[in-house]
Amino acid sequence: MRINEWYKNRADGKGVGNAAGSPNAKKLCDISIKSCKIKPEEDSFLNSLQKSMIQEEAMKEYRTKAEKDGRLSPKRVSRMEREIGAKKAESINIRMEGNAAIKGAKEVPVRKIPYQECDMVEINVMEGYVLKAKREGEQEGKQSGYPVYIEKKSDDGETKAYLFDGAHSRQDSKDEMERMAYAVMHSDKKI
Amino acid sequence: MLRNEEKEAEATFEKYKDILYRIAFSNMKSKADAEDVVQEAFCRYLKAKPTFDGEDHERAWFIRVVINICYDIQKSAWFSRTVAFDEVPEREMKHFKIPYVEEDETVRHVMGLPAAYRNPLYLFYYEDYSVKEIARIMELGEGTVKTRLRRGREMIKERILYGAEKGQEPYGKGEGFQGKALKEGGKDAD
Repeated sequence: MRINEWYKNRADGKGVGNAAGSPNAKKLCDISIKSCKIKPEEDSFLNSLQKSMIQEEAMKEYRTKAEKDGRLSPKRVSRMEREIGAKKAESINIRMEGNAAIKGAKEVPVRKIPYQECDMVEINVMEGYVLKAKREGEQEGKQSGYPVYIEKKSDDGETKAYLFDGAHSRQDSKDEMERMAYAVMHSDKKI
Repeated sequence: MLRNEEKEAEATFEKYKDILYRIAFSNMKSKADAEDVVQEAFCRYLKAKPTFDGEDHERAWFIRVVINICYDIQKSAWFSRTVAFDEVPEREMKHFKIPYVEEDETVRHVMGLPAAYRNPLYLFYYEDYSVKEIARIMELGEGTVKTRLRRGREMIKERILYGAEKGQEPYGKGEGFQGKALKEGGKDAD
């Protein structure tokens, strides 16, 4: 017996082999097409998903462009606004702000420097991490200042290391590593 | 021959005495007790004369022995009757100095934790050990160490936010299974 037939029989009050079925069962043909429509909340979810996907795409493009140029510039942001719309650029800007610190830094292999070799150690038990900073030697052929090696050891077992350009790091950055790079650069201790 | 052995033992003592004292102090919260623990650890070393694969192995062995001695003392009836566990007396804190790190109130909160959490947190934050190294020293799984680090951090947060009474409640004076197990630094804490 085909499944469709079985459903029909079941709805007609017949079970398998014409035995008693379920009289209240709904026939497949009774289900209206209208009920298959996407509900408004689902629709809005899809819309937002689509929007975020578009934004992601735009962000990717923006990133590659910014990486090619070497840094993020306000001109580029305004051009992005024109290209993909102010709202999208706004949201991207927010996200980029969060990533800007890490983007300004270069991820490097972890050296596991001991505390005694560090210029600055910040222990944050409440947040579950330790930051270790060490000023490196002067960059060859560059006037930009000194790179600062920052190591972040988290209590989830992860350790990451970044190289910040101390001269360009911001004191009021949202990223604790960049703030530390700034602090190390402007501390009294000389190399 | 004896002179050489003495010199070697002395060199080993000089190499590890500071870190072992700090670990013992974080557990015992008293200068005199910490010194006794370090002395006992070296006595065990001289008695057992263990062989090591390298310096890391040797250091891990010493730390493990010191932690075990602290557990043994804290489990004793005499200690539980005479010493308040969770408090670090102000007069004793002047005998405790962590090099290269700016001290704050947090270290006292770490010392106030039950042994199962205190040692991983202390080693991780103040002695710069990794999760893997702590797992090896304490003969625990890496996952257990991570869990203890996270829970210990939450306890400290609770203690700072809601005050000592509430923060101490879950691991207070041996009340309940958890408190008892944790106080003894047992592996069943997780």
